Order: sequence, then C-alpha cells, then structure tokens
Amino acid sequence: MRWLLLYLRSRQVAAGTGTALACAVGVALLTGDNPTRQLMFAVLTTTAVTAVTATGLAGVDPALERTAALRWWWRRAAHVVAIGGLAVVLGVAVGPPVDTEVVVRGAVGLAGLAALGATVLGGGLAWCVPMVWTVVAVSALLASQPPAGPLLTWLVQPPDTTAATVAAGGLGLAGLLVYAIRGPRVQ
Amino acid sequence: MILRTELRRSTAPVAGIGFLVVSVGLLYSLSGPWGKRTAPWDEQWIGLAQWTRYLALFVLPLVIGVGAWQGLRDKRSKVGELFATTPVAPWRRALPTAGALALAVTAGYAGLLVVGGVQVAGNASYFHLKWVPVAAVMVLALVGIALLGMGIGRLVPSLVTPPVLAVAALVAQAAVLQTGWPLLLTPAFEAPDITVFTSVATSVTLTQALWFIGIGATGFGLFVASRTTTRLTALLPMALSALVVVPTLSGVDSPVVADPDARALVCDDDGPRVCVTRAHADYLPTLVGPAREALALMGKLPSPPTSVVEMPSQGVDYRPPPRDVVPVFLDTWSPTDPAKIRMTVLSGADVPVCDEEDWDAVTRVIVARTVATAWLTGELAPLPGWQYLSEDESTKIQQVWQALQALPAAEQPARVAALRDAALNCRGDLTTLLGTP
Repeated sequence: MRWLLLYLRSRQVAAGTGTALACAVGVALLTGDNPTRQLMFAVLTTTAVTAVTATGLAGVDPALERTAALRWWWRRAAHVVAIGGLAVVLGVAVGPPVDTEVVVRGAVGLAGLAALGATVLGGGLAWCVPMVWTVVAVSALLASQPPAGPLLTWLVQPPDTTAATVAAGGLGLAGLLVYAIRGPRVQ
Repeated sequence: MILRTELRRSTAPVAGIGFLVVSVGLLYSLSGPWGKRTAPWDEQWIGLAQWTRYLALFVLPLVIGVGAWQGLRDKRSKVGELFATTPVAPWRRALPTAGALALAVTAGYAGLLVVGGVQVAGNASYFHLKWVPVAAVMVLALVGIALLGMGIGRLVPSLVTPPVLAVAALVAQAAVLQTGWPLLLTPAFEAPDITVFTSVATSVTLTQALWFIGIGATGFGLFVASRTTTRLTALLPMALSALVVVPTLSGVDSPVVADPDARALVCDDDGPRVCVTRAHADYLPTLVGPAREALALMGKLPSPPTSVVEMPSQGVDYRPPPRDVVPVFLDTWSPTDPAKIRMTVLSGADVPVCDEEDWDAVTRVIVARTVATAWLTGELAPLPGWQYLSEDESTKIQQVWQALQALPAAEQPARVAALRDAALNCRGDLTTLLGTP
C-alpha cells in the first residue's frame, strides 16, 4: 500500500487525473447535437484523457527507477490499463453520447499509443503519438464519411467495423507489451 | 551563434521537419477536400495558399504543443535560478530560443509551399501574386501560435501543459467550424470559400495578420516575463488586437472576394466564338474543337446559339446567360475526351440541375436532357456523368425518345429549343420537351 501511494505521488497521478477530468468536461460542454461532431468530440475526449495522463508513464528519473529491485513489468502494464480504463470511464460518463464500443475502441488504441510514446519519446512527449493519430483521424472524418482506410482511421469509424477494432486492439496490445517490457525512455 | 545552437539542439528542427512531414502526409494519404473543386492545392496558386492554411486545423494543435514543450525547457532542466543570476536581459536570452522555433516552423511551411508550388507551376495556366499575402498570414499564425505555446509553457510549467494546449487547440478549432466568422480567428477557411475565381479580401488578410502578431507578441511577452505585473502587461497585445479584430471580423459576411482577373474571358474567335475563363485558359484548345462541333449540331434549332462560354460558378451567384450563349462549367470536372465534351456542351446547355432536392425531379430533367441531346446528335447515349441514372431509367428514356420522334417534324426543333431555354433558367423537364406530363 505504501508503495502504491509513493508510486501515485511520483507519477503525479492525482494532478493528471484531475486535469483529464477537467478536459473531458470542457470538451463535453462544447459538443452540441450534430452526430459527426459528437463522434469527433468523443474521440477528442479520449485523446485528452490519454494524452494528459500519459505524462505519468515516466517518473522524474526513469534510470534511477530501473535500479529498484521490483518486478516492473506488471506494474507498468497495470498503469497502461488504468489509463485506458480512465478514458473509458470519463468517455462514457462525461463524454458525448456515442456508442460505447467507439469509446472503448478509442481508449484501447490511444492508451496503447500513449504507452508507445512513453517508451520511444519519454513521458513528457508521450502525448505526441496519440495526438498525431487523432489529428489524422479528425482530418479524415472532415474529408469523407465514413472515412477511408479503416486501419489508419480506426478512431472515427462507425461501430462494428472489424478493421478498426483490429487496429485499435493491435495498437493497444503493442503499446501494453512494449511499455511493460521496455519501460519509459531513459534520457 | 546561440541561435545556431538553438536551431540544432532545441525542439526547433523537430518542429519544422515534423510540420512538413505531417502536412505532406495528410495531403497525400487522405483524399481530402484539398484535391477537389476548382482550386486543388497542387493545381492553383490561390488553392495552394488557402488549402495549406486549411491544414492549420490539424497542425496548429501540434505546433502549440511543441511550443509549450520548448517553453518548459528551463523548468525541466532546473536552470531557472542559475539563469536568473546572469546579467543578460531575459528578452535577450529568450530571443534565440524563440527565433529558432519561429524560423523552424517558417521553414517547414516554406517547404510545404515549395512541394505544392512546384506542382502548381506545372499545372496552373493562371499566375498571380494574390496568394502571397494569404500564405504570409499562415507564417504569422504559425509563429504566433508557437510563441503563445512557449509563453503558456513558461507560465504554467507543468508536464501536462503541452498535451492540454494541443487538445484545447484542436477542440477550439473543431468547435468554430461552420459557425461563420469565429473561424476567421484561426488561419483556416471553409472549403466553399476556396475557389479559383475568388481571392481572400485584403481587409480580412490585414486583420488576421494583426491578430496573429498580437498573439505572437503576447506569447513572447509571457515567455520573457517572470513577475505578475509583466505577465499582465504581456496580455495587452493580444487583448488590444482582439479589440480591433473581433468587431472587424464579426462584420465579415464572406472572407473571399471575386477575382476579376481569374474570371476574365479568354476567347478563340477563329470561327464561332469559344471562351473560357483565364483561370482555365489551358483548357481552351481542348474545348474549341468539340464545342464548335456542338454549335454546328445545334444549327438545326430555331435561332441557334452562336458561342460557347465558360461560366465561373454553378452556385448561388449563377446568372442565366443570353440565349445565344451556351454556358459550360469547369467547376467539378473537365473531360478531355472530345466526344464527351461535345455531349456535355450539347446536353441541355450543361446547366446544372439547379434544384437537387427531389431525386424524381432530377430524373425528369436528366431524362429530358438525354433525349434532347440524342435528338441533336442523332444517337441515344447516356450523358457524361449520368451513366447510372441512364441505366436505371433506360425504359423511360426509350419511351420519351420515341415520343419525341413521333411529334411532327416541324415541331421537334421548337420543343428541344424550348427545353434549352428553360434549362438556362434552371427550369424545364419532360413537360417542356414533350408538351405533355
């Protein structure tokens, strides 16, 4: 228990979760009635939550953390799962009224991307990866409907799109595994 | 010297190259609106400037996030106290850092303009310089937003600041889409405002330039300031420019104005007159031959048309041309196959189906035009662009074709001419052609 408390503090989880909640509420307030816009803003809610909380995927000194005699892999995996879980909870509870499958799919894929970002770029820049993917998805949504290339634009596909589910699941799993094994980038 | 180091060691090179990669990636990986309509980003100069500004919707969030990350650097490196002891004024120390990021995003955008410009130079026959100020505003916007990111990063030096700013920028821009003038506070344009026949109003360009300069000044001020009073002072440029910009832009109906040079007619008078707009001058040689064949075929009509002229728009500002003019529209497509061009010119004056709400009405218009065209050419064939409808309605088309031929020979030309006249005014369907419903 004491370990968990120290971990949460070292990763600034409270601040991250609070900011994520504030972002989700802010996005929800701007949503409106248009279905396309609701889908877009649902994606943006998930992006906000994963991008903000991704900053907690690395501590102040990742190199020092590694020297601890702890089994890091399951702790890291649990952190990624928790980010995805928070994105689902906030997306369903606060976010725009879209299909739950879309929220879960987005949360899984973006949490995986955030984990990949933390592994490759470090905690501070981990947000770039889910953000760039969101930018691509949003521009595809504005370009045509339903957007072409479901493997690329899985974020904004309608529910029950197999390719989109596969892409999100694959990215989620890849992020989870890579981050659990490698951990955050060491400067 | 410091600037050179900053250009190599700070976030700047990543920001510049990243901007170019993301922009070019978006333009090529998606078949977005930037490749459609009259001014695709790689075919017309004004389209190049306006569509690359449309991309701001997607790249500005990344730019402000990267700016904020750069603004966090001193805090991350824990050198604030050390730097505070140096005798150099804060703004002098900030200048190379901010300058490097500004140069990098400018270079990234310039690279994007080069990528597009090389293609436009090969494709466009209409060259003008009205696109340059439009593109210059994008430079001011990129620099201004990057500086604002740096300033906010310095003001709120937390790791969550960059992602929050990035998402907030994307949400804010998505929220002002299709809301009218608030979108003008961003560099982007709505797709209908991007045509080869229009350019951006000078007043809008100047106001937007002022707005983004204000944002940049505030961003730099926040980046330099360390006390509450200086921070509040730093907000002044943005607030003052907002005082000018918001009233001006909120009074703007449309950010674009007609470009008379693009609409000017280029004509071939070597025979019956055939004209296109200057924007499409390179299409004139392709059009001349088939258009004259079409005019010759229309000689069967009473008081036949004598010229073919391109009209700039099918949209709301369509005005019917005089009766002796056959209008053509190169808005949506420009065929190269002579037979298709001839059909398009012949087919009910090529006037768009003006009221597209009711599919049954569209069908009646297209069937009538198909048969009228067949009467002119002597051969029943689907109209270019309406193949599907022609297949679905083939029995109806056959019936009408026979009904028209069953009319007295003297009446047939009058009927076809009546349909063409009505079509010029967005009216006319089977009733006009056959005289019976």
